[in-house]
Amino acid sequence: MAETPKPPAQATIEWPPAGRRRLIGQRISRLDGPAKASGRAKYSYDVNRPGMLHAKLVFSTQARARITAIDTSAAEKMPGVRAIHLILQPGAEVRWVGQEILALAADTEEQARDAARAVKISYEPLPHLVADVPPEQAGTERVQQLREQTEGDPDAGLQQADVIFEGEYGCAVITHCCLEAHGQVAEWNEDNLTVWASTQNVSGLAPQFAQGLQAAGIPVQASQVRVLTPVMGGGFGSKFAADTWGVACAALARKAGRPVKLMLERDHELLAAGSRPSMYARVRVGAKRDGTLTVWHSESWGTGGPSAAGTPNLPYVIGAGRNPVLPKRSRHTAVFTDIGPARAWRAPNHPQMCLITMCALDDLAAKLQMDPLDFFLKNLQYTERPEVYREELLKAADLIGWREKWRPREEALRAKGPVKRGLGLSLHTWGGRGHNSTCQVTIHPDGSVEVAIGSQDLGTGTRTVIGIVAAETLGLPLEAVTVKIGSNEYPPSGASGGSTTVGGVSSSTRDAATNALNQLLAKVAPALGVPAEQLEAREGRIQVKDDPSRNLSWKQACARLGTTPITASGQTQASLISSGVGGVQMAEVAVDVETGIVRVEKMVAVQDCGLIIDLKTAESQCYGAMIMGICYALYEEKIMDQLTGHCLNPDMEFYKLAGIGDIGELVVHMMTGPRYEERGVIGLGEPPVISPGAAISNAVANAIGVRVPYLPLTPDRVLAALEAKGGAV
Amino acid sequence: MIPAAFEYHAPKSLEEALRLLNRHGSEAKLLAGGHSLLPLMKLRLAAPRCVIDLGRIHALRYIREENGRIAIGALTTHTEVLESPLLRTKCPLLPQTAWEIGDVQVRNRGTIGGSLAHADPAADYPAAVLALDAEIVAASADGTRTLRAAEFFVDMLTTALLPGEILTEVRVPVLPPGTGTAYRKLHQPASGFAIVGAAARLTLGSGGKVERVAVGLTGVAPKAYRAAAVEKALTGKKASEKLLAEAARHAVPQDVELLSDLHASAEYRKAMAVVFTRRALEDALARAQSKKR
Repeated sequence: MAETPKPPAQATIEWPPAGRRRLIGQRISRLDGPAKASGRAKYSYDVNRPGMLHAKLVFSTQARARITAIDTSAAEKMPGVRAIHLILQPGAEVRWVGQEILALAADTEEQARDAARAVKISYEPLPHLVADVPPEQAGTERVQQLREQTEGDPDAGLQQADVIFEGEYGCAVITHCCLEAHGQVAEWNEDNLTVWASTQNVSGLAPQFAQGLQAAGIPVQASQVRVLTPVMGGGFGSKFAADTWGVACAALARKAGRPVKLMLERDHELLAAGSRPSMYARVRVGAKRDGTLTVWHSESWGTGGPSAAGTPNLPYVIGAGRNPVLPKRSRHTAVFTDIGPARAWRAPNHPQMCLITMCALDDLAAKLQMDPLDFFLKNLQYTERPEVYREELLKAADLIGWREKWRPREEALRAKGPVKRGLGLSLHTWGGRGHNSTCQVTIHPDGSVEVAIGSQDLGTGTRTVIGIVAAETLGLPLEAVTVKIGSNEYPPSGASGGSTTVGGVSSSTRDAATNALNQLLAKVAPALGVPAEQLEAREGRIQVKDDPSRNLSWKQACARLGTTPITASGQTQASLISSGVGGVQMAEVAVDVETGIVRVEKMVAVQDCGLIIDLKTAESQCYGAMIMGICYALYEEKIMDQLTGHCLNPDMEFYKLAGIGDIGELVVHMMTGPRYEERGVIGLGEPPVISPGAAISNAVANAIGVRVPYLPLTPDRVLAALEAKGGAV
Repeated sequence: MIPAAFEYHAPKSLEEALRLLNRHGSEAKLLAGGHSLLPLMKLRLAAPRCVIDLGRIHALRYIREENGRIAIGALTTHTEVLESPLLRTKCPLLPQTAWEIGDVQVRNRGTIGGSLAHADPAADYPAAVLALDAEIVAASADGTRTLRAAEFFVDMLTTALLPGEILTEVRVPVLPPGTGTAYRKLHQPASGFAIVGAAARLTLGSGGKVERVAVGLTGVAPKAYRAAAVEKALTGKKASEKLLAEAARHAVPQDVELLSDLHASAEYRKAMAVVFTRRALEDALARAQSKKR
């Protein structure tokens, strides 16, 4: 048996150095922008198949109850009804208004809606809890203490403090409110299923569909399920699963022998497709006269639906560092409620932890009569990245004009007229790394290039980032590369969650493109008369590194492949990516102390995320996150009625999001250059959405001289806080 | 989102519309813009058997000066009110109010008659017509009658119009010199409806004294009302910022039943009625003073 030659030692994969990058780090418009802006991009919602049926869900009208009977006899006789699929059986317990009970499919959407109305469900009601109550009011069976943590000597820390501040803070349950609702179109071709799903998890959905359908008595294997997500309209952590409606859609299609579309209605989207848990805390925090923190105490709780929703780690950012350790004691209790399940919401737990920490510290600074900018700068030794935060704080202060504009709380309130202005700031952090991603790059003999990854673009710019990395690596213009994502027929990639996508896909693409290029260089080396190692791909040519005049055009080089394309694959490369970013945001607000209306006039986001692939889509992530942050700081709240167990605002009129007139001026500054870029690529999806709530709340406190303890900062809450203080003046 | 089936009529004259209304009685609804009726029908909260669309009765679309008053046809759109040079110079409170209604599309489609006849507690015009002591003309098969704005609004979504009557015209006064008007509104952030809307009309007499003042409030209660106590506190007194602020505190009389909903609690509405009454009065006073000069 012949000995297999050892592969040559693999050189470590690297990003091109700063001076050698042509595309990476530039401001590049997203590849699918024109298609989306013109409506040519087809979302799951837009998919229409020949003979397609429309499905609607029947969901629970009870917050908690046992289903005693499901009567579909009238619905079955309705015109156009083709199939009915039970998700729950009589006897099952429902745990929230909006829990899916059955789905039915009819020829038209209207027929399906009429038939859904004709289904009769009988319930035996059970006691429910939908109110956002503290543990002592929830009843022991609904309460679970999740964490009690002590570090250092918090009792000694209290002794050492010259000033102690005690406060209560929190934020309401909000929903994901994806603009493209959850849902999909399902179509069978004999025993093979195709699903056009709005998902953050195109490579991971097939096994979920197979499992769900098997449980429903439809034998199908993951290998028979094709999932397609060419574009999608937002997930924010709520679209990782096939979900009951996905399985029901495929089951209906099977039963009816026709394709079926099932997209959630807006009310159902808000009732059942994901909520962000609330979090509240009583905080005691102390410092020396000079502002140095000595201690943190917090007792926190939150409601997150029928199961516990994550454990916070308080305090946040400040006090997370190990050297020195800030003495702290924290306890968290979860309260189970019947409001619909929590799902990961962009930076799970972080916006809540950030609000509680940054607001308590801001109040302590006010009690110390310190400028919060100085106070936070003073305590950066308690963070994991003091130098990064210092640089970012100073940059943000410069961009918002902090030193010129900031006034102590009492002074702001003395401004003439009912509108008072204030400034606030907040710090945040997030992890990153990259999920497991596999990429395949194909170079065709005619010079065309395909990059295929079983990933998805949630609207963040993933498609564009993949194209940039491939084009940069192959020395080609961006237009020369065709990016293929959004199908589980491409090499698998992880779900897009936790800001792990850019790390995964950029490094797997760099790896695959490098491997493909090396094959091409080996093919053309003889023609240029040098070893392959002496060749490089630049500006559409394959050239000799030391003598660029000796070259082949990309097309000429590829023509030497004959009839066989090159394919090469690549994986996530730890050496190209990293984890852990810092960010600072500052907000300037105007508060009408007579009406309580808060307007964000300006927000500044200063953010690092390692090596930036596309500066434009990175900045866009920050703009979008600040807008999302303004929404949850000022408007968003899932309002529940304890008496009936119903959500009172499951629509876009009463569940208010910011409009263009509510947003104010947004400024983004990305930290780039030495000390940032050499860390490699780090994800950016979550970080910039964490701070807005805290920064805006702190700005409001600065403007009106008193803390509005809970988000959203609605007019009545602002006025109530002012009244508790004894009025605006 | 599809209404239940209904019969549709589009009469071209008032007489024809009245005949249809008589024939179909309570099974008919009048369509005069449709911003309230159509959503109700789409949500199936309303399912009239018959819809009589008044949109083609062009004779009910006018703004003209008659006998010292300005007459506005019921099918005049909010945009036409907003842009009318006649109203802008002689009765600016109506254009000021129209400007605050909904958005451009709503203003292009909605009509003054439709809005008043619907009597939504959060609509804008009711505050203005009350502050203007407007007259509202109703036609029926038996002829026409004229109602005072103060007697027109009866309750939530309920007016003094009788079955078989169609609102045809609104008449507002030509405002005397030294008069300033203003409409100030707290918008419901998503729909743009008034959580509170205050319309003020203030005429200054000699020595800067308030000769005549009227304040209409909408959004606060099931029906729009005149803030009589505010008016009383101002009339005959020398106008000042302090006086206005004190008078505005009477914006919500004891016997008013306050609305309370997801947008605003009764308490918040009450507080805002005071704030927006004061702001409307301040604007009206400033305009009256600038005209006086």
